[in-house]
Amino acid sequence: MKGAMRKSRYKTPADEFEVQQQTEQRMSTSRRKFLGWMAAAGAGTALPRGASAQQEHFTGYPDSYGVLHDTTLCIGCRSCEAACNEVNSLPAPQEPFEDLTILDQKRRTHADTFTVVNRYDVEGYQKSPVFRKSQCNHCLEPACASACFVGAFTKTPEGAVVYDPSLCVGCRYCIIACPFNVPTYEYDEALEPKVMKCTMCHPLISEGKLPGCVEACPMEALSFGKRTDMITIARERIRKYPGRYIDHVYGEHEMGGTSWLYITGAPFEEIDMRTDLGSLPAPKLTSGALGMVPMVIGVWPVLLGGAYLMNQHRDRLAEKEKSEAVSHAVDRTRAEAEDKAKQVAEKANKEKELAIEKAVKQALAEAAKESGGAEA
Amino acid sequence: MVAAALVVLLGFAFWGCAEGEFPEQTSRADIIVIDSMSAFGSLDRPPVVFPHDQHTEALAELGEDCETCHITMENGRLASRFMRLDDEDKDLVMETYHTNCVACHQTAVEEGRDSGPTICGDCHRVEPLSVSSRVPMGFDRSLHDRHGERLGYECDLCHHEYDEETEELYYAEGEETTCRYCHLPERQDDSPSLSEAAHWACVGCHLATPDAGPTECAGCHDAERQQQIKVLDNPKRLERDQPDFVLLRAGNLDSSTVSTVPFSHVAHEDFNKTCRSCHHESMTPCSECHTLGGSEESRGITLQQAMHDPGSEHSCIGCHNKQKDEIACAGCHSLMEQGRLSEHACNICHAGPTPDLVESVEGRYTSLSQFKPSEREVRLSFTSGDIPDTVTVGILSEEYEPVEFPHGQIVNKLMEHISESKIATHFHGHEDIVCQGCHHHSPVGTKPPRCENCHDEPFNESDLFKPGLYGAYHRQCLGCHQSMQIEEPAGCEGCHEKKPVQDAGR
Repeated sequence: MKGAMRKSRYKTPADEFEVQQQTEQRMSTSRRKFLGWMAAAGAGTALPRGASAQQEHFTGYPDSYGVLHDTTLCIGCRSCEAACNEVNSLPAPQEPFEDLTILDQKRRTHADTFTVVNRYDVEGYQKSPVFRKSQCNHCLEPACASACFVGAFTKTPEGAVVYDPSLCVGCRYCIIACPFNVPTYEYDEALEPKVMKCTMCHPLISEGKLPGCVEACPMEALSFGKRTDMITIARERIRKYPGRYIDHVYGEHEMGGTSWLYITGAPFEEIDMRTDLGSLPAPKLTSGALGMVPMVIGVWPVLLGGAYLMNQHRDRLAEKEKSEAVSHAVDRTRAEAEDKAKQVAEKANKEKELAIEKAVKQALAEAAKESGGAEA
Repeated sequence: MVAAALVVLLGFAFWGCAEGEFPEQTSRADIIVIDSMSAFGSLDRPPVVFPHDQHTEALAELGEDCETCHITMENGRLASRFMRLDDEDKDLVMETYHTNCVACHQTAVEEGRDSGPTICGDCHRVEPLSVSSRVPMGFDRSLHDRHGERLGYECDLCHHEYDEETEELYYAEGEETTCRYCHLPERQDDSPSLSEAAHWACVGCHLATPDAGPTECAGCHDAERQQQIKVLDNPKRLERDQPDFVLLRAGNLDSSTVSTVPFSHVAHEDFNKTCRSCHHESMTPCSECHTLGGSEESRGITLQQAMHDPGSEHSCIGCHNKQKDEIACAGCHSLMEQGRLSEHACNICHAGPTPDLVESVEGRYTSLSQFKPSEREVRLSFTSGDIPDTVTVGILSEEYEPVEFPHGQIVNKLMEHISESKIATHFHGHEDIVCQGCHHHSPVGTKPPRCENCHDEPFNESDLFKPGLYGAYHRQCLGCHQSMQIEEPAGCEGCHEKKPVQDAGR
C-alpha cells in the first residue's frame, strides 16, 4: 500500500480546489469509495488522453495573492533582500545589504538567502542595466510539490507554496524538480536539515499584511494583491507604455502559471529568465507516468491474485491428476500382483495336487506291490 | 570526372580547414554577398562574401577599371551585375563567376601577385572571413546644398521625371521629388532599383568628375566615413515652390467645425533632414491621399490618423512624441502615458480660425507672423513669490531624516530647458503646463493638491493603478533623475540622511 499512500498524500492544487468545493463529500470518502476511485483512475489511464478528466487546467485559487515584479522600476537597492532577511530571521550576511558592489556578481538563492537581486547589463537596451529580483515563484501547480512523495509542500489558497519540515525526509527531489532553481538545502545543518525557500511571507499575508520584500520596495517595483489584479496592472502598464515593456507577462502562463509575475523591457533571455518552460504545469508533465500509479495499484493485485489463483488451480489439478495416476498405477500393480499371486497360488495348488496325486499313486502302487508279493 | 571528384574532395578538405580554424572575422562596409544562384533554387554551397573595394584597388594597381568586371550597356551605363546584363540561365550565371573569378585569381598566382582563392571552399565559406558593416547612405539637406553649389544649382543634372508614352526622361521644374518615390528597393519594369539608380547617378558622376565625392563603397557606406562627411550648419532651403505657411484644415470647409492648424512649413523644414520625413510617398499635400474617410491610396489611413497617429514617424504627433525622448524632456514625459493625446493640448495646434473664417483671413496669413513659435514666451501665470524655494518632504521619515526638496531650483531648470527648445516653448509656453510634470492629474494653480491627498497606502484594490505615497515619491523623483541622466544625488542618503537611531520598519 505504499504507492497508494503516495497518491493519497500528493495533493495537486486541482485536488485541493476540489477539496474546498466538496469538502463534505471528500471528507467522508470511505475506503470503498477510495478503491472505486482508484479503479476509475486506473480505467482513466486506459482512455485516450483528451478524454481524461485529469488534464483539466488549474488556473489558481480564486482571490489568491500574487506579486508583480516590474524590472523597469527596480533600482537594485537591495531593500527587499534586507527586509526578507529580517522578516525570516535569517543570519546576517557577511557584507551589509547597503553594499551594492555585490551586484557585480551573479547570485542565486541559498539556504540563508531567500531572495537575490541580480544586475544585468543588456547590450543594445536603452534602460540597461536591468535589476531583477529572484525568489520562489510560487507556481500554481508546483513542481516541488509534485516531486515530493511525502507531501511536504502545499499550495495554499493564499497563493504561497509552503513547506512542512516535519514531513520532509530530505530526499531533495524538490530542489531538482524546480524549473526556477529556487529551493535550497541546509547542507551545513548536521541535524534535521531543511529545504529552504521563500514563503511569500505566508504568515504575514494570512494576517492581511504585505510580504517583507514588497513592503520594503521604495519604487513599488513589487506590487502585491490578488493575482488577477496583478495581471490587470501588468497589462495596463504595457498598454500605457508600449515602448517600455515587452508585451508579455512572465508567469501568467509559464509552467501553468506562477503567483509571482514579471514585466520587463529587456528580453527575458537576457535577464536569465527561462523562456523554454512552456505553459504546462509540472505535474501535468508527469501525470502520464504518475497516472499509471493507480492502475498499477488497482490492477496488479487482481492480476497477480488471479495469476496466483490460476497457478494454484493448475497445481491442484496437476496434483489431482498425479494422485489419480498414482492410485491408478497402484491399483493396476496391485491387480497384477494379485493376479500373479493367484497364478502362483494356483500353480502351487496344482503342483501340490499333482504331488498329492503322485504321492497317492505311488502309495497305491507300493501298496499293490506289497499285496501282490504276499499273494505270490 | 576524376578531376571533378578531386576538386570536390579538395574543396571539402579546405572547407573543413576553414571551419576548424575559425579565423577572426573582419567587418567591412564593401561586402557584397553573391547569392545570385538563389534565384534558381536553394544553394548547394554557402554564398560568396565578396569584398568589392579590395577588388577595385587590386585592379586599379594593374591599371584596370570598372569595365574589367562590368559590361557597358547601350545607354553608356555600367551593368550592375558581374560580367553580364541579367540572370537568365542558371548554368551561365554560375559559369560566369567560376570561369572569370578563378581565371583572374589563377593568373595572379602565376604572375606571383597576391591573389584570391582558386579553390571552391575558400570562396564558399560557411564562416565567411568578413561580415558586412555597411550602413545605408542618404542624401540630406546639407549634402543637397553642397551638391547644388558645386553643380551651379542645375537641378536637371539629377532630378528627372519619366514620360510613360515616349519612355523618356525629362526635367520638370518645381516638381522635383526624392529619388525613392520612383526608384523602389527592387527593380521595376520601368524604373531601376534605388541601389542601381543611386550608383549610376552618384558613382557615375563621381568617377567622371575630378575632385568629386567617393567612388569606393566605404566612402559612402562606412559608418566612420559617413561621420567625416562635412555638414553645413545652415543648408539652403530646398526650393520647389512650397508654401512657408499653411492653414491645415479638415477637409470640406462647410462641414468641418474643427479649428484650422496654422502650420509653419518653413520651420518644420529646419528640423527635418529630408522632405521624406513627412512626405513619405509623394510631395503632394497630405490630404490628397489621406482624405477625411481614408482612400485606397492612403491604405485606409484617414487624415485624422495621418496627423495624430502616435506610433507613426510621419505623423505630427508621432514625430513630436519622439522629441519627448530627448534627455531634457524625458524627465517629465517618460512618466506620462505614451502616445496619449492630451485634450488640453488640442488648441495648441488647432489655434487657427475656424474653416468658415479662413477665406476672409487667408490674405493676412501669408506668413507666420501671428503663430511664430519664437514669438511665444515661456511664462508662468503666477509670480516667483508663489513658487516655494524648498519643500520639506518628511511624511515618511521613520528611518531617514526628512528631504529638503529644492523645488525652486527644479522649476527654474525645467523652465530653462523649455526656453532652449522651440517645440517645448511652443507647447509649454502658455498656461502652467510645466508644473504638471509633477503636479499631475490635478488642476494647475498656486496651491496644487499635496501628494498625500491622492497617494496613500499602496495596493488599493479599488484604485489598482495608483501607486502608494512611498512608491509615488520614489518613482517620481528617481524616474525623472534616471530619464534625465542626473547622477547626483546618488543612493538613499543622497536625498535623505539616515536617522542616527534606527527605528523599526521603513
